[in-house]
Amino acid sequence: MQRRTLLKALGAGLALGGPAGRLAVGETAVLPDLVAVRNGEPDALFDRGIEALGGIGRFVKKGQTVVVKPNIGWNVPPERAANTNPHLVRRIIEHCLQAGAREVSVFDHTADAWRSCYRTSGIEQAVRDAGGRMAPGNRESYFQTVAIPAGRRLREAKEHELVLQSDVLINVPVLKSHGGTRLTIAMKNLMGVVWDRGYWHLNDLHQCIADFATYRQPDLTVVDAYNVMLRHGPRGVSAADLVNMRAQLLAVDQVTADAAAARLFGLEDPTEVGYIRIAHEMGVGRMDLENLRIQRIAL
Amino acid sequence: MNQTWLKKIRVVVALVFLALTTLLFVDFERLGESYAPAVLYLQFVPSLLNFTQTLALAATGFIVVLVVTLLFGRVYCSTVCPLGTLQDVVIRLADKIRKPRKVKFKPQKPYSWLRYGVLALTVGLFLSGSVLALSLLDPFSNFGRIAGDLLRPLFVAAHNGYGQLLESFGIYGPFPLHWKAPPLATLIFPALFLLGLIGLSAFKGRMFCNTLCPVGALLGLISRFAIFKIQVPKDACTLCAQCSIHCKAGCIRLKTQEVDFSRCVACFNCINVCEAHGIGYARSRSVKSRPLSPPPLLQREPGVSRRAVLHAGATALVGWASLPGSNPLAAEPGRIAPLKTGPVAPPGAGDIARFNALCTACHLCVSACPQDVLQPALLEYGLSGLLQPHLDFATRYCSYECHRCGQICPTGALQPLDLAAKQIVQLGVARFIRERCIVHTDHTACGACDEYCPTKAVHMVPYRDGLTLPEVRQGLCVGCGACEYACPVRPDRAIVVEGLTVHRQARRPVAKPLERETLDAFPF
Ligand code: SF4
Ligand code: SF4
Repeated sequence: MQRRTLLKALGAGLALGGPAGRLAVGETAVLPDLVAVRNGEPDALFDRGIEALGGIGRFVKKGQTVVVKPNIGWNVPPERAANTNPHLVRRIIEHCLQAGAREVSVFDHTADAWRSCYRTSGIEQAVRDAGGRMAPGNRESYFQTVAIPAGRRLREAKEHELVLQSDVLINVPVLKSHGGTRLTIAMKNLMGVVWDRGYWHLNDLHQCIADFATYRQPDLTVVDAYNVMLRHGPRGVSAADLVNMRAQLLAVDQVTADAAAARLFGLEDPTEVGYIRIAHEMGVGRMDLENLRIQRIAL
Repeated sequence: MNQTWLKKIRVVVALVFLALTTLLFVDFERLGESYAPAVLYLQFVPSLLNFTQTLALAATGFIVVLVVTLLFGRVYCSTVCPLGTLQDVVIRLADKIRKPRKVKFKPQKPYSWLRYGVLALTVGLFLSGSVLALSLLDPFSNFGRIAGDLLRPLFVAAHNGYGQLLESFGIYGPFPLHWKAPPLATLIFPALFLLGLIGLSAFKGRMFCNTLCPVGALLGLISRFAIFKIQVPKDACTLCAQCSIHCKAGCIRLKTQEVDFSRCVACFNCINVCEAHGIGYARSRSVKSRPLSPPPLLQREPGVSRRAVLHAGATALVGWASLPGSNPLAAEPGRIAPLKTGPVAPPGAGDIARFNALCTACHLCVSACPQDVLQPALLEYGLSGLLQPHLDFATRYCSYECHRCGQICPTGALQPLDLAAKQIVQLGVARFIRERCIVHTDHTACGACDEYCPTKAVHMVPYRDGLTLPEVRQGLCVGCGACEYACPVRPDRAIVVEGLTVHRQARRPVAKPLERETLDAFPF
């Protein structure tokens, strides 16, 4: 109870800032909109990438609570890259704690049975090793209904309490092919903080994904493109579905992250992915990479 | 000779077995899995059935039980058998509640016609292909259903309640345990059985064990020939009657100073209360008296019954031996036999008819299934398959990465398959009904089925306006039900798995190499 009240107070304080508050920070002007790093291990890529984006301190302040949201949807081992790379998750948590985060929580509303996913993905172990907190996401009681005023098809959703209460949300998707939506990257990864996603499938999935993106832009998006599943996504059949790209994308705007990731995946035009186009049109973020500041780094 | 130490050991062993067996059913995932084989080894019916399937060393536990019975009588009934110990617990609790009685138990009639009749019926039905009687009477399976179906939800609720309490203080404590409510009607049998058992044991001691339990009857037959028996020392006996009024089986007759050892469950109560410290184990040859009021049936029957039992084993063996020819797990990959819609049996069941004839519905697999996809059947398999597990895809599906049920099935009704083998067993085949699919009806993207399919038996093919539509490649389908589970269309889903009466082999997915291998520069 105490925790919740406290967190709500903190959350309210922060909400006043919002995305606009962040843009007001003076140094943002010279920072890139997108950092693309390649040729390294996931943890090294993040070290370099976050530095280029202004350091973790830009996103996580002392005493704050953080939710790191990887993709842990599938009961498959790390080498199959259907889930976010555990080394990356671990490194992000370490950075957050170094920046003075009070608590770093990790969860997913998984597709496969959640206990199996947490374990097999290697993420439960990684979180524990890093000093973070693995939280359950499998019970409806953890989720609270929120309104999505800007949504066209999706007007409300049940969102995990941790996301509601935390000061900082870091979205850490893995780039994969997806049979239904072509690609799953950042915006689609946020389906894992929602309980009632069956509705999305029934009511224009692309629109719903974009609608939910209007609700809350994560503070930071880190796209894991270390191993990229080029086909048979989102679950994959075997490691033969993967390309070892050894890359990572970091951005504040998740539409930008998704657009860049789509290009990385091999699409000529990010608008081939319905939700990226819609989110751009709705003004959630920008997919016009040609007009954005991109910092490319090769390790 | 003072044998009072026997009871102390007996009680400790019994409680250990009871506790471990209970945990096996209520918390398999965290606790049970590690020691399951050790606890299951000695369970009589599962071990016997398993042996007829595998002839494996790991299934020889029933032989150990038989040997011990031939030496010391039904030691099994008061140590290994969880249902026996459960009754002892009930007796204890009942004694705590009611006012103290001097005469705890009265001598009981042998009811030999009943117990041997039940045994004969159980064996007879089993041999004729119906495991139903055995399944409804086997003590291990009944205990499994009590612990797994009735106790587990309470355990899970208590555990998760505690977790929630911690959460209200901001601590994400132990992860919640999962449990999925089975169809309510499947709980009727275990619930009635438990009520009956409580009533019977509270007032009549171990009466179940000497009337309805087929294992009790069988071991009773053998213990007639035990080398060591509990006997009343006629010279030392003061006729204080302590042994008789403490005998849970009601098998001591003071008039003749005899113990009906076929009904003795070896609880050793008598040894501890005997004033003369006389009653206890002795070489059975030293007793010269005639058998206690021999039941009419028995004088003629034992030979027959024993033969029947041997016959049971033999027939079952022959049945298994003849299987490989029809063994579905060895069937030609890709061969298409006519489809039949029906229940989906767990991986390792092979031929559903064989599975139905062997599974005693102990529900260990139901408790152990990490997906909760295994649920007790009502009449899905027909009456004879009552309560046997089937896969219910409405709310769950079978995990591609799991092969647990076959590994732990104690009767061999589910054969153990290693993961690679299990991943190509075809339990059923998915059928896509385009007219219901929302890509077709609503003209929006979906592909939930394709998302979940582990083999890409369902994959998306181009449809109209950039949309993609599911398509099923039956040869790749393992019948895991993930697609049916994921399909959001209601009330009738657009993709459903039709169970196979004989499991087949699916094609193993082959992967063509990708064109790209590395990333040399960013494309933006
Ligand atoms: S193999 Fe399938 S049915 Fe058997 S325990 Fe595992 S998930 Fe359950
Ligand atoms: S098509 Fe359906 S049932 Fe068959 S393997 Fe794929 S998900 Fe499982």
